[in-house]
Amino acid sequence: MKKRSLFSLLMLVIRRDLVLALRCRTDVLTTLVFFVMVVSLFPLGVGPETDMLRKIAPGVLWVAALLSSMLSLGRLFSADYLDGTLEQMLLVPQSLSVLVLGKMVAHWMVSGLPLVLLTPVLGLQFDMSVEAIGVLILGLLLGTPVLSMLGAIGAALTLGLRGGGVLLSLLVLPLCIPVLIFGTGAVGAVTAGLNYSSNLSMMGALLVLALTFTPWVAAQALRISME
Amino acid sequence: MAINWFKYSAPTTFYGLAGKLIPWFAIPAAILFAVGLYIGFAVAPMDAQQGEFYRIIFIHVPASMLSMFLYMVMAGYAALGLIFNTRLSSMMASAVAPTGALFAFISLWTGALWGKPMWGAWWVWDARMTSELILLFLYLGFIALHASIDDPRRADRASALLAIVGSVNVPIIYFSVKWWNTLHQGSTIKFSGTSMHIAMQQAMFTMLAACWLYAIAVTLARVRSIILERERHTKWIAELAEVRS
Repeated sequence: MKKRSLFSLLMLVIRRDLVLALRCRTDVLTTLVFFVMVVSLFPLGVGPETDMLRKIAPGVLWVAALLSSMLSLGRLFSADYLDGTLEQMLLVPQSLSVLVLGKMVAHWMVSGLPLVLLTPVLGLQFDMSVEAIGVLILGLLLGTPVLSMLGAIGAALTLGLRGGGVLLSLLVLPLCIPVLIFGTGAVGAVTAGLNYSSNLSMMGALLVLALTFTPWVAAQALRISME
Repeated sequence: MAINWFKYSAPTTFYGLAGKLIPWFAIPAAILFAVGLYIGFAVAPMDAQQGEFYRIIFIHVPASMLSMFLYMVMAGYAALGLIFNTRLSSMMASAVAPTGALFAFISLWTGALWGKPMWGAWWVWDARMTSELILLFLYLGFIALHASIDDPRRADRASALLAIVGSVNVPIIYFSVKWWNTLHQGSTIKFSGTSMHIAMQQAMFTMLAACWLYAIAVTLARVRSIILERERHTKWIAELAEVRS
């Protein structure tokens, strides 16, 4: 058999996971509906004053994005684990890190990207300015991949455990705090009329750091969980 | 004569050594606690600005220092266990974790008790307090992951990986939290840089030493229990005097 190049392997895994996700669309839609619902609950909880809503909007949207990405992480490896595909993936004479990276990218495209695309609508509900929405979207674009990648480590560690979902959130949420801080910080800076580029640069740095290390760590975690 | 450096890296030999070492750490810990509390409450003078309330630092500061340091100790043992596949290192890592979590909790609790009279609030979203809280979450995550995996070898390796990821993340979290705080509300409270009275210093360092010795003694006692639990099917455990009786 011809040995695939790393890039074509990556593309193969991404395409496979995307096709699988499109075959059962409800999973994707539930995450999205959850995101919209959590965000819409906040005005009901804290009251409809526009000033306050504008102030809490970035935090609410970020926390909701964090929670809904936790929700979909459980499925990242579990379906492949249950039907034995994951075991075959570990046996493939190719880099497991690249396979894991492919799964992370596909997970982000299915559960992170739709949230980013929905954000402008939700931002308008909270009466955010166009500029603030723009920065929020930029931050989410940089930050949600980090959430998927950190989450993949947690998902690999908790593979096949009872109560895995709650445990996964317990492990991953503290690690996601920097992303949350810089993401909301950028929007806070733009509404205060300050320069927001430092926050976004830090997010970019986190993304590069995560891109470099998390596929390998998650691959090691998978090996530990599967042995 | 060649010394066997790795003699005590086997649970079989370390079990006996730990048993012999525990009194050497536990008794000095008790003495130093008594001395430190005596100096702290009776000898050290009242603080000019904070009155009697400042005395809580004699437990608060050692607890905070140990909670942070023990996380690194735990991650170090966990990494050793993961890299060299030594059983004892992983056992030490899981023995350190509850003590670290306890110190993190004590640090938050005493901080709240001090904050109420001094700042007028039980809790302030100050950078240090927030990162201490996140540290407690990291400890709890480690313990929870270890507890929910039945196979001890997999539990050791999985939680070791988590501890290493956590220790890489700790500086990032610390600086992001610090920055977040200064970005939003500015530094509201600053510790005045007055030099400490000599008796206060003595009390603080005595308590710090006492906390260290206590942490070592408790970890050794806990690792003995873990060894007994994990190796319960082996012959050498069955031949131990305390098991047979």
